Amino acid sequence: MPGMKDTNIVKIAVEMTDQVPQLIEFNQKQPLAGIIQELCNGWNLTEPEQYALQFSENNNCNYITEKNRNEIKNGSVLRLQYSPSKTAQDILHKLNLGSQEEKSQALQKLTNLSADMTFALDFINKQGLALIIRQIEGGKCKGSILAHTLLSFVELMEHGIVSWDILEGNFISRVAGLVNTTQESQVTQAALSILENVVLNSSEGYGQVEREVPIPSLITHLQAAPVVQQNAVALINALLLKADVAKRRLLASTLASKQVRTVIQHNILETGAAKGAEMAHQLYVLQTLTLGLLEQRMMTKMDPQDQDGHEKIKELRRIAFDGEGPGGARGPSGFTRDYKKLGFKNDINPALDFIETPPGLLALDCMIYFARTYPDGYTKLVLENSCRADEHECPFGRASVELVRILCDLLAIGETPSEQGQTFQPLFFTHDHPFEECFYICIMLLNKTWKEMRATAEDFGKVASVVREQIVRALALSPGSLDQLKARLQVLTYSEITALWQQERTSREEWESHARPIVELREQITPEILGLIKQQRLAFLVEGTRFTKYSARGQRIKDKFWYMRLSPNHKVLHYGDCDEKSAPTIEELGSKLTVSDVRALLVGRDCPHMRGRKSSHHLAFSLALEGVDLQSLDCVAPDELTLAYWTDGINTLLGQRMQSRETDKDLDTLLSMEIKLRLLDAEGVTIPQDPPPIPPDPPNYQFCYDLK
Amino acid sequence: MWIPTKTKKYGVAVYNWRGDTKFGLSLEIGETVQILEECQGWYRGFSTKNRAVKGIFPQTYIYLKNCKVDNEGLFESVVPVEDSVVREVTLVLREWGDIWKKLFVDREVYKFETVGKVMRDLLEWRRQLVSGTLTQDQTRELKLKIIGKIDWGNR
Repeated sequence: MPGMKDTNIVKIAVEMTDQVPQLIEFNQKQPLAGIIQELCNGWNLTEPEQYALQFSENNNCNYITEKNRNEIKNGSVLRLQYSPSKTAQDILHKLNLGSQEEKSQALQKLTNLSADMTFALDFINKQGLALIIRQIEGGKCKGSILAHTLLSFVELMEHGIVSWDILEGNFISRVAGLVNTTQESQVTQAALSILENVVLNSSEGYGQVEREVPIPSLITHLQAAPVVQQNAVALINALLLKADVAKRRLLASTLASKQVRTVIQHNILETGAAKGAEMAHQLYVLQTLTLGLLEQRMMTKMDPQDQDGHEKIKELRRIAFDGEGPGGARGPSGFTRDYKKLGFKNDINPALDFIETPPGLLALDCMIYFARTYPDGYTKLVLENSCRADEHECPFGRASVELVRILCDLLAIGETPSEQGQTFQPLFFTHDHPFEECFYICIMLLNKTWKEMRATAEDFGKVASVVREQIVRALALSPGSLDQLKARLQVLTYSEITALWQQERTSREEWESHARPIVELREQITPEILGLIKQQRLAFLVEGTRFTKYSARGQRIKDKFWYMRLSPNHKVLHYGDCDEKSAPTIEELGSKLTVSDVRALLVGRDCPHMRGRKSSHHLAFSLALEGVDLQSLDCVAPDELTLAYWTDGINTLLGQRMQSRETDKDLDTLLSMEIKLRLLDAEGVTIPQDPPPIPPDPPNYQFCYDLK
Repeated sequence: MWIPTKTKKYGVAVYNWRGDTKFGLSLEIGETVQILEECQGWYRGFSTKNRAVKGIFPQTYIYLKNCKVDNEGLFESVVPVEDSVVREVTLVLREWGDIWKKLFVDREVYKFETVGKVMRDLLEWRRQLVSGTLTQDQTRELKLKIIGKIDWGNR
């Protein structure tokens, strides 16, 4: 049937080197072999079984198979090439018997093709991988041949067709040798990548790589080109991941040493190499693994028999109070008093402060680090708080435990690195004890914030939440050094944080005022509020207004006034002359006019008494009448507000909408207050943007409480 | 089966609901409700504005609040657990809200504007109090300030 489109047919072009391209209709129902046969016929090629189709796109040059053929779309351009099997055969042939030149070309081709699963499978089945492995083990290749051999190997292994366990010690040693010597960067990169995979994927491999690749040789690679750096960090990460705790600790301390740190800082962080996504990920993994070493202490509660722990607690006391004079007179009660001053929760036995995990003993470690490294700052902080006579002292012990808990949580200590993570803190690569230093900076901050908040013991939780917020916000900017962190925190004072909170609250409120349910509520309340405004306007009319008299030609008449007011039942308008001060009662006003006689309200230029006047009076309004002698009652209001009130009032009497800007203003004032009052009980409750789901009707209506 | 609720006794509507179902109780956002019983995603109860009208409403429309229940059962009384000053401000604001609207209608312009401003101050302070980010000292100070204003207003 003409016009019917067969969805199985796609129109495509097929190219081939040195041939005129063919435009064909590719039928998805027809076997590939048949299509290739036809194409070969078109180009007079014999042996169609030696050919295969390939995608011809920048990022996709894969062979087309029965599995991926539905990726072919209208307008696709394909290539007819020698089949994977034939190509693999050719490459192998050249590798075995070809000249040096041919070998090199074949390897280059192999590197490109190895990423294709179809080809890789064919090549591996033809013992190609074994040949590559032998070549690497043989150790005779050099330069670009070696680079391509290694890269092909990496690509072939990526498919997971062959297990990494097939590799023998000999092979690993050879690759390790390449890492340990100076090579072209492509070679180093591929060798590092192979070893990383060996460590991660082969059961025996880790031990050998760990033995044969000394850390200093990896450190050298951290100073090389970015791709090599990345692979070096990745290998370090792999080694860290597989190491047992003792080895990991050793490795981490090597990495934290000043020499290594400087290399990372100067060659990776400062050069901008860390901005790349892959490098960022590797550094994130490195940071996570290194900080992960703290997990053990974090999860260990203090044992009552822990001598080391007790010594540390005593030392904290000694450093803080020994300056006070001879400690000889201090008995056990003296200890308790001091522990209280140190701000422990359990001043009789401070060990109990460290039984909660996290942060466990890590808190004690941080405290003792602070006391030993910065004895002056430590003593000052403790004494300052223990000497306060009021309620406002900041309990150092309790605060430290809480702070370490917050830090552990924020830095996700103990979590295994995720595949996607890219967030790392450069400052953790800048110090031997970055975590403890962070603690030191933050405990000083906590003390400062405590003072700024004029907090008491009851406020402990609130101070902690502010400090947490301060740290989160400071770290969000990834400070490059501990000093930068300190400077950033210095700026984020308590008042700054409350200002930020206030801002967020305001913008949330702003959002909420546009939220659907609130807009609905506004609409619902509006008639009621408009009612109030009408009431107010009519009351104004009942009270009445003194107007200045104007002549028929629209000229103001000096010293002549008249007065108009609405009857309390809103049915009659009374008016009449008056003097400049009086406000006559209804009885005193000679003329009247029933509201039902008013046909329309006219304003400004439309008023009969303003007609023809060049500068029409913007305060003028007229009541157009019918069924009475008078054509219209013409007025000029003394001011804008009076004009607005009269026009609103008359419109209300005529059953029309009030149009003054004053109405909009009043409506807004009254409505926004009303909404706020209605929502008082919903303060702090999140308001959904869309209606919540309604459950299916209840199965019955047999209520427990039925008052009927 | 409808079962009397034990702790879920008091809440606030987070959305408007027309109550368009059998025995439905329509709700406006911000309205507080007392809950009697529940059944498969529904509550049955009444608005604290009008205790006589009982009906059912979806649980998803209600944010539950802490409360204290006395005299459990048919004639139980439910009192929201709330800071006393917050409660007081809420009541005062609602009361003043009516007075304020009357001032508007009567065109007591000066009083209308002054009371309006004080109410907005009270609203803001109440919000700070509810947000729970203040220290005890600040809370105490704020409460004094609020009580001062309320006294001013009631005079």
